[in-house]
Amino acid sequence: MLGRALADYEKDMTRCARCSLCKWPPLAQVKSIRFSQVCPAISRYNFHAYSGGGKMIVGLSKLKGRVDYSEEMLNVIYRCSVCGACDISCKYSRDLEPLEVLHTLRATCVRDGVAPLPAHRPILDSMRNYDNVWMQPRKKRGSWARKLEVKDAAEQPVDTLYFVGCTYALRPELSGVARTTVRVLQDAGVDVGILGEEELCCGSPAYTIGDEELFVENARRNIEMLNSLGVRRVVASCAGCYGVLKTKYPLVAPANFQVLNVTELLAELIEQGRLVFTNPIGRSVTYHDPCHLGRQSETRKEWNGTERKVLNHLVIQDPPKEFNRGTYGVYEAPRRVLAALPGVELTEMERIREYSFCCGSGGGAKSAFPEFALATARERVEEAENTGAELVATACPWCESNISEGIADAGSRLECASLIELVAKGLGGDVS
Amino acid sequence: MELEGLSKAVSSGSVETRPEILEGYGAGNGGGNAAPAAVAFPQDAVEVRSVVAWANDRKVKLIPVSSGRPHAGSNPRGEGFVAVDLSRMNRVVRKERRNRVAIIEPGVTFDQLQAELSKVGLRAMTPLVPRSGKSVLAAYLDRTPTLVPRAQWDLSDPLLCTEVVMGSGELFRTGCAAGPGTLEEQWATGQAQKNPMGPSAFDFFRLVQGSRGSMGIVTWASFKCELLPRAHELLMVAAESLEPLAEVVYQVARARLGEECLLLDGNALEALTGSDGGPSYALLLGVAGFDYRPDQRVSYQRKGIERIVQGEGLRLSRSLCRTGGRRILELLSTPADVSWKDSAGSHLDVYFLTTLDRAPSLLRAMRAGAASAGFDPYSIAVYVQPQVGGRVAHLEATLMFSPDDRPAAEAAAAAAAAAAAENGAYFSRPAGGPPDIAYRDRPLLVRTLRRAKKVFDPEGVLNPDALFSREVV
Amino acid sequence: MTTTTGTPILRDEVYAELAGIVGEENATREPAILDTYAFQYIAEIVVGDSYMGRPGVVVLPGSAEEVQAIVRLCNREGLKYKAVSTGWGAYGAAPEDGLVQLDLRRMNRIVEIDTRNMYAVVEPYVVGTTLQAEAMKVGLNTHIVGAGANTSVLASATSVMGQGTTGVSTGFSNRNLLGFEWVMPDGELLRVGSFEDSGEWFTGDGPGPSLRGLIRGFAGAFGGLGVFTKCAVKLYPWYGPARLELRGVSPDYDLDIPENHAAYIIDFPGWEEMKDFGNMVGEAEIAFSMCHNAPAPAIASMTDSNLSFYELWKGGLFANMKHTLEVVITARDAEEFAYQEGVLRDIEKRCRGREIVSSHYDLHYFADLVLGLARGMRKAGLRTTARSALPILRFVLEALRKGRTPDAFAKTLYLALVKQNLQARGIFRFGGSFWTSMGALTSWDCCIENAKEGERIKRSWIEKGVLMDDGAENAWGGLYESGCYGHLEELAVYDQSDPVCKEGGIGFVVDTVKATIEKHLAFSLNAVGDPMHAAYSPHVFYYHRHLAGIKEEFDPGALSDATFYIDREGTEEFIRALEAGEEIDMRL
Repeated sequence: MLGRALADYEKDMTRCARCSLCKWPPLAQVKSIRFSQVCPAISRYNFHAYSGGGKMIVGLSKLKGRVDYSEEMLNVIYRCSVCGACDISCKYSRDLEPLEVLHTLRATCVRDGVAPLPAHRPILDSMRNYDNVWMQPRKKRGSWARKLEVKDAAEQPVDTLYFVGCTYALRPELSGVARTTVRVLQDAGVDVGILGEEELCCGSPAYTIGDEELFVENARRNIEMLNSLGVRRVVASCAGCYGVLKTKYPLVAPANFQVLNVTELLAELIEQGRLVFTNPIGRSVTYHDPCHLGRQSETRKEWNGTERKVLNHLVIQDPPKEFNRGTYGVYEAPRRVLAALPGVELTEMERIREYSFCCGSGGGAKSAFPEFALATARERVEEAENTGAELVATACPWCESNISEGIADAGSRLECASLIELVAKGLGGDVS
Repeated sequence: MELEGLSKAVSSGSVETRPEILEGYGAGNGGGNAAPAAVAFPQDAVEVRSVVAWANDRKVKLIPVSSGRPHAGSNPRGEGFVAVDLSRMNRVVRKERRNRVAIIEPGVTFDQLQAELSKVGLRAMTPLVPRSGKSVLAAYLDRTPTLVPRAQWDLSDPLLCTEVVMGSGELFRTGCAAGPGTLEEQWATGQAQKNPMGPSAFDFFRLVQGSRGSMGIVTWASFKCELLPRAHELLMVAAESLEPLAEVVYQVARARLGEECLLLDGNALEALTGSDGGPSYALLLGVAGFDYRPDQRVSYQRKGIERIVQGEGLRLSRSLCRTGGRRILELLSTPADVSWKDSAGSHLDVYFLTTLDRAPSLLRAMRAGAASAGFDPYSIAVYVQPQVGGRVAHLEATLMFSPDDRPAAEAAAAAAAAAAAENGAYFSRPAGGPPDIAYRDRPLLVRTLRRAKKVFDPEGVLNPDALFSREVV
Repeated sequence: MTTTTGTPILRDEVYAELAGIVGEENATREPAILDTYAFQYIAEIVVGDSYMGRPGVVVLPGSAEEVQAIVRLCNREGLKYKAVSTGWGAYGAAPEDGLVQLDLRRMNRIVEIDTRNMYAVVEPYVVGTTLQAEAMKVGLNTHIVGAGANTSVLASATSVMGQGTTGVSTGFSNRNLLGFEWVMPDGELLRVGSFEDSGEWFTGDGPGPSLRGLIRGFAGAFGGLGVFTKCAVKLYPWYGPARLELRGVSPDYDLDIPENHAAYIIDFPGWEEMKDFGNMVGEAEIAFSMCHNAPAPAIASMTDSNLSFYELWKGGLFANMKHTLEVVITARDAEEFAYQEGVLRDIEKRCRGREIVSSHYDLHYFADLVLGLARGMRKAGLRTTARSALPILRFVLEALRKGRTPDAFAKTLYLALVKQNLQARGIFRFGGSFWTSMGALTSWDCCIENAKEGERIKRSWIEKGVLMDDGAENAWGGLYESGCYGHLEELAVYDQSDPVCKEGGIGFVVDTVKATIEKHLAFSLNAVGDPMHAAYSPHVFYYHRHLAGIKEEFDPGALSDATFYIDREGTEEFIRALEAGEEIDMRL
């Protein structure tokens, strides 16, 4: 939700039972003590305040004037990848909104002028000044596709717009994924185009850091532009872009296009027989669910109703509210793609799908608290290693990048790759 | 000692000072105890309280006795003390089929109890061949192992609630028997004194149990009864060594099969049955059916056990020492006037707790210890009693000897106990080994026990030397 | 010097010393963090506010040695301290500000699982779910308390209570405690039981008296007697797979009930039949789990939101189906299963029970289902039945549409009873919080008398608008140790954000306390803290004097926070007031 104040969540925060369920996956899914935690922040910093429920209490204390901002309090609020795992575990049982409280806490910090943190300011400034998060000039945004023959969606009509995102577009080590994505889609006969230099940042970092004003501005510009293109669908291969386009944009303005993640499109193409794999991969693989492709990819519906009590104190919402419980995240599509690849043996990690353990990169954690982000990645790497797999596949540049750093830091022999790269390999093409 | 007050505390004629009577309260099992200056025979809790109040007033030490024989070496040293003999408090206060529970006073014996319980379809858990006249409560209060590990949820079982006079003289009840309400009022709401915990945030009964009368004097207690089997048989397995039998016990325990479950060596079996030809070791496993489908229960349990036994390359025996299962089953729980251990005239026990997997090595260590003291290690009788569902093993080595050989046997028992202690034996009941063996090098534990005693017996009137010597650490 | 809420600020040099013990990053005085230890479940009933006192400092020790050093420092400085494991509930805090809070979260190892001798040695932050996950891999299981699998195994075993729905086969936490490591109130470290001699933790009793009796009873000291840093607990055989594989996505998990396992809800004509059934099944030793969940939490557990619960509930049919027991059987093999289920059904027949939920379909089940529902309808009346029918039908159709089979209820029930994962859904979701009452550990017959009385009292508080109308009958509990004893506590749901509940809730508690005393319904689980001790102790052999004796002997400076344990003077002051006929405030 946007534009909310902590006061809007006072009852949610007060009704936290401090049960700590937000620290574990839904309990019936706990498979070992080693990988029993689901929240990166509490796993690393241990004080209860770092858990989802802990942050609900911090929010309540702030609202009630019991505490005031301090560096340590901001640490509590921002040493968090806003991965939403706490939200899933809580909502397995409860009708509360811990993730919205986390977001609103950050938005409140920004409104009150104590955030963004110094480490986040350059990113947001870059979004304002360059429409990307990487402090690169606008015109460099299209250079990843310089040698590609691909339609410019701003110039000619296309069925499918590939929304590349800042990271695939501007990080040379990752932009091969973007090129591969275009080639694969073209091979499958998809009428795909890109926006090149015209593409704007999706605004996700501003949202997660709590700068709602900047996010709304970005979102509005994007929605306007995308609506004007007349495309049937927008496909993103960055989970961050996908998540925000799909779930947050509807809170800003209506869109006239469908939002898909590339894994969904790939799965569809495979099922239609438009992608046929000939080249065996020959690797044992495990799959990391990106938070914004998985549990956080359910469209948030604006709900402006009121709470009503029946049977004296049974709390219900009027009109009925649909809680996002992670049920309808994109979990199957990437697995269907992997299952279709010859010579891929998929072994699941213990924490997957809606209760997947975050890579540690999101929510501004990577830029402000790199040590925390790396520790989180290493935790995930260890879990991946525990499956015996040789390769971690994922579908998000942030995850791929951070997990790769985790692998390097751990001296692990694992590899991390984007799902699309495996698809390209299965098709017999070269990667990038 | 001035005994007028004591005489007033108990009903007339209930104080004994005749030397020949007093002597019986000193010798104990193996002697070594000083005799008391008097023996008081209270009739009820009120009289027990009066005796304790008198003792507090006069700073006289008391030793509670249920069935007439204090443990060796446990009596106070060097000063006048009084024995409180509870054998005249021998009522079965209540026996109840619905809740499988009975309440008894300390003087109730196993012989007496079983006759009463069987009338309502129940039975009490017994130690291996209880002594005739043995107080049931004394056995339970000493955490004496009983024969059915499956029925034992806690090492404290089958003991449940107690009424107890603390060393301070205060009357107290433990577990849910404490109230609110009298026993009669509790019964009226369907209560049955079966929760041993509390009241509130302490389990005084756990401090009383195992304290050998040094924390309080129990005036009645409730305990878990088991259903009287409708079908009951004993399965027997012989083996050359303990290890495979221990393995069978582990698997049987894991499968929650069987009732009686114990291991005996040939010496013990021969002494028990009075026949020779015993195997090296044998496992005795009772199988029973109760009120619901008894035959089906026996059948599936028997099959389950047979599979386990066969899996270990063993087989069931029809008889041991030329004695059939039915007879052995009867022998196990039936009180006996003469202990099977006294077949040579006299005996000494060394016993402690361990786990089943460590029992064989501890046994070897004990045998070596006894041998080093010149005792034939292979004449030692061995009894292993799995407890608490198989998680704990009571290991008991019995040195049987002619009364003339006592000094040598004592030295051998001490050597065996020391060897066991060195190898990790846990003397949870201090009487299982020589004095202080359980408390050596445990100053904090001893201090903690002394502090705990001080809370409930500030004047230290109850059996102050029962657990360890004053110089232990 | 104080903070904005009046919290005394710890002296800098003492703070530095504490931080030196645990490491800088494991100590904090940040108010925002401290508040997350003050905000506690049921604080609004205990102290009338969502926050208990704010600690002066929180430290995260990583070892028993660090705990010892902290406790010694507290003794030297005269600082009050309190340790928490998962720290759930007001009992983890104190009403006043400023204590040294030890959060034992970093001590989270399963030190050992002794597979053969069936016990585990755990540190404080090992919870039911993690111990169970590891134990099941080796064919064992652990007793998980009713609060849920998210609670500390050690805290329950050493310091709190220990009721749980599988108690009929997995006992009670007090009874499952074996050896333990105890940082005593003065900072000495004592390992109680077999460990010092044998190197193994298989028993906590002896030598001689069992010091288990000193540290806890029915209840524990709730942090009032030092800190427990390690303990061994009994494990129990588990005849299921090493891991229960779930299908689906939250909040709707599905699974296959393992072979020779089964789950049932059995409905009885009335309380008396429920008494008989509980006693008989208990002694027959055929159940893995046998417990009572009232209709409201049972329906809540099966639904994914308050709204979907309300849709099903408002017709009124379910509220009338309250004489039920939930049973799970977990047999090792087909033969044992045949025996156990055979006995179950023999007893069902004798007690006129009907399986209204069952994990297998046979004629017996369908016949029972129809008859059980008919009985429910008869109790509820025609109009209620008619009103209820449509939402129930809609719910069933929706479940079928999602691919759930008719045994979906049984599967959810099985999962909930084995994994203990649905407490928050079953009780917290309604209004946000709940209080409990009655709940003595006593004979099953008396437990049901507790349930009846609890329902009666609660109805009046529902009528006053203080509690949620959950049908009034909301007893939860079961049997323990093959039916040796049981417990049924009356749960009362409220909204902690609503002043009506905050102010009125304590009245319900007081009424139930009085009833258990006046009607001799045994020692309530609410008998914790000085006002409650004052109410009970004069009727229970003045037990508080002895409890206080332990506290004073071992913690003469009263530094280990005893808010939920005992303070002699405080208790006696309340007793004097009660004896003078005054009403006392049961809040702390």
